[in-house]
Amino acid sequence: MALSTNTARPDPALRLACAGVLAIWGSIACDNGSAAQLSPAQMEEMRTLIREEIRAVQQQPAPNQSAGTADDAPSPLTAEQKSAQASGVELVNKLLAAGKWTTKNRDTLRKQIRTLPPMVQIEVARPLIVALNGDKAKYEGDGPAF
Amino acid sequence: MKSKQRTYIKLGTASLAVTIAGLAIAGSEYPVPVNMGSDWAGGTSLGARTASDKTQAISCHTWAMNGASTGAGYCWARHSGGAYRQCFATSAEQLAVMRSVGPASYINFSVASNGYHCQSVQVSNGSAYMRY
Repeated sequence: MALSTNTARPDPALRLACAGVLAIWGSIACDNGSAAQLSPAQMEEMRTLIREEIRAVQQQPAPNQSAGTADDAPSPLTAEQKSAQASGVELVNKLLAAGKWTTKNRDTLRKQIRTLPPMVQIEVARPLIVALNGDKAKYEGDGPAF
Repeated sequence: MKSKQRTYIKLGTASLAVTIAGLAIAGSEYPVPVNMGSDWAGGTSLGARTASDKTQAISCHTWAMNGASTGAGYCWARHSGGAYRQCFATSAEQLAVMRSVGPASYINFSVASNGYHCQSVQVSNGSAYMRY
């Protein structure tokens, strides 16, 4: 069974486990089963290795989180999109202050933010959705509020 | 004589119509109305559509844009009392569930603690949720 297919850099957890075992016992298990005591220099090297591996493990993202790549990174908004975003935010805030949201407001917002990436659209609508879900604002219209 | 024949024809046609109608509505029907709590909503398309209040609704929609790395989805529900619950999704898994909504769907979603993301989205499709 292969523990790691990356020969240049083995699994950090595996390296950490090996280093820990070696540091505790102060000996090196060789292929032929013999063992050798570590010198102080080797012990220091081992401690450095352990510290490096702990850092590497700590820097790894949690399993359910995306590490993020250049492909995932959202493209910067154009000046036109930034303007649309600002208009949308302004509309949402203004009407939320009044505590009312209508079908006409929804349609206006849709038009204003239609060129924005979905993630940005969601951010613009966030205060509205939070207010409606918390019954802090009332939608007086038909169909979806967003 | 002719009158009797006409009566028989009428009776026969009527009984045939009743039989066909009976066959058409056979089977279980479960039109769940829209229900909701502070952070969830659920119900069937059929239950919302056939409610006498003309207010209930439940639906999901998804959208994507050219050049955007992720699409998005939005589920919403309106209770007979007029309250709304809704949430957004961007994960591929939740979007796939939202896309499976049809005329014979039971939809249930819950809102995450941030108040606008979907914590969960559930869709069941089945004969009991559709009127034939």
